[in-house]
Amino acid sequence: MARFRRPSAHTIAVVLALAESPSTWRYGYELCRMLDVQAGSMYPILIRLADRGLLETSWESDAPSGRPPRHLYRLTGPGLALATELARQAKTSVTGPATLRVKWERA
Amino acid sequence: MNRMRHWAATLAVATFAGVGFMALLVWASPRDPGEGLLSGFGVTMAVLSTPWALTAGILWHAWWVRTGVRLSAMDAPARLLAIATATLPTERRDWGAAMTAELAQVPDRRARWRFAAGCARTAVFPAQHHPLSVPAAVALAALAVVVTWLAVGTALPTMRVFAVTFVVLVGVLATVAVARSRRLHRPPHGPLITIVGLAGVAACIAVTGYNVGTDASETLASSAAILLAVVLAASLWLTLAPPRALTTSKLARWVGLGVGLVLGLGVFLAARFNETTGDGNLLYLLNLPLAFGAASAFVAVVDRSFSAGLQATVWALMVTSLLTFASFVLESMRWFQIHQTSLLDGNEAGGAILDGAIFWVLIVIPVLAFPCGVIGAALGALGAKVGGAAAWQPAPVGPPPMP
Repeated sequence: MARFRRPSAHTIAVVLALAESPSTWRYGYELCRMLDVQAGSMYPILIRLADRGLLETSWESDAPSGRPPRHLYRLTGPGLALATELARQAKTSVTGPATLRVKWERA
Repeated sequence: MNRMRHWAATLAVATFAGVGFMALLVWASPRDPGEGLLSGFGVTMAVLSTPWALTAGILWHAWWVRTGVRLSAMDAPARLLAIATATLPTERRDWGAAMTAELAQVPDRRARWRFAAGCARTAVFPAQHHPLSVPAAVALAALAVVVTWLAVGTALPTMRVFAVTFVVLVGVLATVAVARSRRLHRPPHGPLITIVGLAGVAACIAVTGYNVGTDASETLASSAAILLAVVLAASLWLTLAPPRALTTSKLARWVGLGVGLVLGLGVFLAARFNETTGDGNLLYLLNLPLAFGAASAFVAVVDRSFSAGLQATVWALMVTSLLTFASFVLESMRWFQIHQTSLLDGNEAGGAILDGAIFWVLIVIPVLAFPCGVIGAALGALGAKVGGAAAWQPAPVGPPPMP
């Protein structure tokens, strides 16, 4: 069943940041620094996006020895579609992205 | 921590636990004025405390080998995150690994603390699918407490403390479960132990209510009622949402379940085959913990794992406590109707069946059985290790034999 819910401003920021360079794999701390979002907010967003099939995850394959491989993220096809929709609505919205209403598929 | 310091710490933990347990025993059962301090009394206390000292030392050593060594090599933020991510359910473990790997990239100490604290919060209390789920769970739990207080207080006032404590604990556990998970999961240990656990909790509540409802002289002291509620709530938690560490050995669950069923049935049979005096029943209860040692040793040998043996002890203790308590109360009631005495010693009058059941089944048996299980698991794992090393033989050198 589809549900309509309002993504948070942080979620929109994460989706749009990932959509800037869709083929690039990003990692969590990098996104935290890029968007100035705390890890306690970032990881729930990433987990939710992954649960909903909007985020593709992978493990770093060439991690230097002595350091654990990092978890990498980029948007899937539906994630890119959501980003496009968010960007479009952000342009037409008067009050900014926090008031956006987008289709938010339940996991 | 080097090897010497580790063993010194193990000895200190064992000594502390032994002395602490001895102090508890002395407080619960003070020395008679005519009893010699260093002869009878002291020796008895030392003998009873030694298994707990050994248990504490074994558990400390096992924890250190499994977790402590790794934690000691980390800084404080990494430790915080490691502890928090250890609580993640299996399907979220990769996210714990992701956070841990990311923390390794954060150089600045202050930033490490902020990153680790945020991740720890996410690991322990992940974001809710619906923002009102936790407040709704709290409201439902509070409503249940009020309804229980009024309903049980009117119908069975003797059970009010037990019922309210039980509902409060179940409400807290349910709220934590709602806060930690987006959806209900099937317990990971199979349906049989879930059915037996739920049936055991229900049976304990039912026999307690039946006993209080049919015997006007029956009392349930507040401390005993709270202990019963804590044990039943903990059993419910183990039954429905056990920690990951208790679900890794299938054999442990089956053996624990089997031991619990047999020992619970044994209380019933012991009462039926000792119709003249209660001595046999007491003897059965006091020897029952030995089965825990044998069961956990067996599991540890077969699975070649101390942890598996420990799991068998926990499952056996849970099932045994529930089934033995229910059997004990029912048989005590039947026994009292026939003999007008207590099931165990044949002397006391009635009216204290619940207090007796709580003392013997929920205090004495676990206090004796848990050390037996831990020591059995340690001996089993040690035996498997030594046996495995002895069984290993180098491959013969030379060409294979002619057909």
